[in-house]
Amino acid sequence: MKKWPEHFPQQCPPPDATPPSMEVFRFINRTSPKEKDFFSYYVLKPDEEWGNKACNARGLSVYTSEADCVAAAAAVPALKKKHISVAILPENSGVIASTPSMTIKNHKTFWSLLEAKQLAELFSPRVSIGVGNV
Amino acid sequence: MFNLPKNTVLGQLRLEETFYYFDIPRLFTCKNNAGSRFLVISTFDDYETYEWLYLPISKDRFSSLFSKSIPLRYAFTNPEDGYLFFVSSEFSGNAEVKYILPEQIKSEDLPDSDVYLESEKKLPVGLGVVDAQEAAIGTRRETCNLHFYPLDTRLPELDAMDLGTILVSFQELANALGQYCKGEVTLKGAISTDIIEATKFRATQIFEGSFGIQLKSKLIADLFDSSLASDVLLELVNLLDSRDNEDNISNKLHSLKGRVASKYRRFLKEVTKIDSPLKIQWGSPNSERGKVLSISRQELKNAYALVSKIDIDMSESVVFRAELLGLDVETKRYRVKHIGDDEHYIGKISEESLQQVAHSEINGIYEVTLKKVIETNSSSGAELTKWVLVNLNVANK
Repeated sequence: MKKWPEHFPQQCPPPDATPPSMEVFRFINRTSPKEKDFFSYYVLKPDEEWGNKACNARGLSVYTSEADCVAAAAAVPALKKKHISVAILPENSGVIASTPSMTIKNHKTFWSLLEAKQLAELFSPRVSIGVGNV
Repeated sequence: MFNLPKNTVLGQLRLEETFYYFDIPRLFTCKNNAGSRFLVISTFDDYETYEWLYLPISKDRFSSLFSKSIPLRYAFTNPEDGYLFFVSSEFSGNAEVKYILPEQIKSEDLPDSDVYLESEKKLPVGLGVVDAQEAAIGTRRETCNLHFYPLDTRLPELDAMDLGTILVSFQELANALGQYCKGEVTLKGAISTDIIEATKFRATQIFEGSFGIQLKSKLIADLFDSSLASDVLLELVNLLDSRDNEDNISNKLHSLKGRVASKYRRFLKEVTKIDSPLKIQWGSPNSERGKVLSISRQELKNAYALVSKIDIDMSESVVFRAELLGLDVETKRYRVKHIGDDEHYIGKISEESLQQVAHSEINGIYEVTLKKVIETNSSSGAELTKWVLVNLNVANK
């Protein structure tokens, strides 16, 4: 398996993170997945001081069910304006762990060993009623 | 770390609780140094620019969101102060902040109408504001602050028994007024559960400045800011505003009918027992309603005496068709069965009617007149309703 980049903090990804074994859903900003949709915030803002979010910032928010995406889009207008993409990721593509928020228990973070461009090629658009149509 | 707006009218913000997170916080609360809290929702982002709605929110409104009394969308479309903030920010925290009226918000920038704020974690929200009008607007619940000024009590304290009986009598009066407002007046028997539920009040906090206790309706107002609890408080405040004016009290109690007179009498009795003036601050989500009323110790005593007199005069006689099941002129006791609802009435025969009823037939059908008498236990204060037989006429077939 490839090694995590040196800028990753200790214990990141967390020890309970496992290789992806199911469909993974991610909100993207356009109909077809593009490289930019798969940059972690750390990559987008490398000089930012991330504090206790240093590990999360190196990962990507994902859900493992479409229903969770729809629920999030119903609550958060910005997500409703996005589009849902889906992929079955290869085992050696990275690891995934639960990173729940107060409302959504099923929020997960994916730490990728692939480049953003490769991820964009693996994900495909998912047409969902009420999401990405505004 | 994602940066909240910096150097804006919103103040120095710090993130409090995150409810939705996707790459960055999407629905969260934050607070400024002055203690103002905002509920924030993400409405747009393209990884460069971020747009948000910042809603100033009180503890009461936050508590209502948490208890799922109001949906998320309602909070954003009905801000407590009539406005919210539209924020366009960069990741660094550079931001432009504009006031926005709820009607200016596009539907697509709002959560769906059936979404409620949910949390796995219990957040300590606090007791909310004391001011009844602010509390009512924040929670969309009718709010009634009762203030007492007893002479012999170290404030803010009140004997548990006194407070308990006052609250019970207040709730019973609210239930009785609920029957009137709903047009379902009855003199006895259980009050329907939908009225009981709609007129239920909950004690939400006590406060200083006299002994103050805040009551809020259990249910929230409907879309038109109306509720049965609101109608009840309107009648209750009007009744109290009659103070010790005999004509006004009499007219009101006669028009309110049912068991209002006896329940009002009980409420006044419990309040006069603590020998205190009463101030009521009523706040309503309906901006056309609400009132502050102060009634002196003497007015309360006079009102109690007047209502007791009126209550006996009205004495809530009921006339109905019934089957005579038992009659004993020696013990002066009777027993009848209501033809309509099969309810049994047992009690004493009045002295005046003993001769008239003496020769009635058992199992005969009669027009029965019963008079309601309320007896009060002098030590416990508990009231017992009794029905005295005052007339028995053979019913027309």
